[in-house]
Amino acid sequence: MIDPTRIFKAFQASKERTLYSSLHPMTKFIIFLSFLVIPLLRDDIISQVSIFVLQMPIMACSKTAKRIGESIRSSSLFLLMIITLNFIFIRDLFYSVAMGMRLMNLLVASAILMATTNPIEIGDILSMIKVPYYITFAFVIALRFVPVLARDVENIVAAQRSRGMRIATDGFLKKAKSLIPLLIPMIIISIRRSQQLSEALEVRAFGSGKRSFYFSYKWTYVDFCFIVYVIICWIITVRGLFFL
Amino acid sequence: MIEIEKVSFKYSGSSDYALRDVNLSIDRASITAIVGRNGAGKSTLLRLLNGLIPHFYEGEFKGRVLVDGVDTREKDISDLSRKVGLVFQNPEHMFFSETVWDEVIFGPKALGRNDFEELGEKALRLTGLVDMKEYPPWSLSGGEMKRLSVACILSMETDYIALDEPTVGQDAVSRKELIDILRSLKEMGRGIIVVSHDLEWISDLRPDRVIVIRDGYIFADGGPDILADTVTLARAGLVPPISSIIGRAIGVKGLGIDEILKEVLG
Repeated sequence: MIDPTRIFKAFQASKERTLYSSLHPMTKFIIFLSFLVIPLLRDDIISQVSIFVLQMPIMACSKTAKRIGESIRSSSLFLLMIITLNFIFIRDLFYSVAMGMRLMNLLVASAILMATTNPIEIGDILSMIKVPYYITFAFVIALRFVPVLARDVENIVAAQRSRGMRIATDGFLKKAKSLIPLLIPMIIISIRRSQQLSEALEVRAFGSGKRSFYFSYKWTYVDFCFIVYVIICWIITVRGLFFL
Repeated sequence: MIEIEKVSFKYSGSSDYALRDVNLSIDRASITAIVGRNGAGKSTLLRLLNGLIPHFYEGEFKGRVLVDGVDTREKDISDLSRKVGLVFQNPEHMFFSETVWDEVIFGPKALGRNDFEELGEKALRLTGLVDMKEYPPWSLSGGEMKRLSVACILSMETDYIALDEPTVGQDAVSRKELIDILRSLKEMGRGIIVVSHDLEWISDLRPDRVIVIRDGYIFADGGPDILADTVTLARAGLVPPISSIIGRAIGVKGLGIDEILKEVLG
């Protein structure tokens, strides 16, 4: 059975140290931005498939292929919905599949970044590009809470299944309705948590002055190799050397 | 009877076993207390009972669990929830309905019971929430929420009821009320399994059996006397309840603090 809660799993930061996770955070961010922009520049199926193929070495270096595979499988219903809606309105099967693939490519790029970069590193990236600290902090906190929310979802699903709840597998509406016992506790718990967090920040003098940072990052030749690789990806996909 | 036979379990992504070679049988019409330090494997043991392990929590599972002769590996969680009801530590994880009444009848309706109204009434009466039928669950106090979570499981009329850390965040009155509910459930023939590190409350509950868990294996198994066994509890990283220390000092065993005070004060 497809479990919708698995979608979160690929987005949880992995503790495993890999070649990719040890890169400079800015390198990972550049790669992420590239694979976020490139799929949006092309709308043909060949480009989308090649972008997916080009992300495969990165998945291998970051050892995220299995988790991303599970996440794609869990979001298959959503991807299928995108393809179907596109087909209904555009009446072009290849274009519709390309749109589904585009979404999958965005999912892969985001999952690689999230799984290999801890929230503090992401906050540091935003600070490096001069994003105000209160925005950076909100973003970091949102990311840091992904595993917490994932654990909440896990507990809620376990509690509701213990009460005889079944997630419907047939029909979109039935499935959506069967998810209500999961969504409502999730929303209420999240709101309560955010209230508690804001109070906790207030009492710990958040926003009272300029903050200092402890770590500094170093660029290595491995970062250089990955940046060269991403430039090649841009040339292949945008210039379309091989396909156009 | 619930029989746990040579069960070992390791959560996926974890290098250590949460449970190691656990053998246990739990009868109906009894109260079994499972105690241990945080991370000892108490909650994992509870998750075995209604099939959350191995169906929901992924990992390496060895051995088998039989609930009234049915192997939990062969039945879905929804089917097993007809036999074993599980009350979670955080009641907030369960609530989603507009009213207490809708919340209580969700379980029996999910199980396809036609007598859900009768079951809901009975559960609310037993937990003292009849007057709060129309209240939103989220507006209840911590103790009422806990009682509601128990009512949600009671309405499913399961033969066994397992509770995970039921006293967390509860005041003295709520703790006492919970004891009364559990004792009456035992008298009704239900098998009660309580997991807690709150030995004072366990001592007041006066369970028929106490199981001490340490590092995923059963360290001690016996009657309520274990709660007065300072050496065993200390080796399991637990502090004996004050009632059992006083009880031992005055030569009385297996009584809660209320009974000891009555004994002392006459």
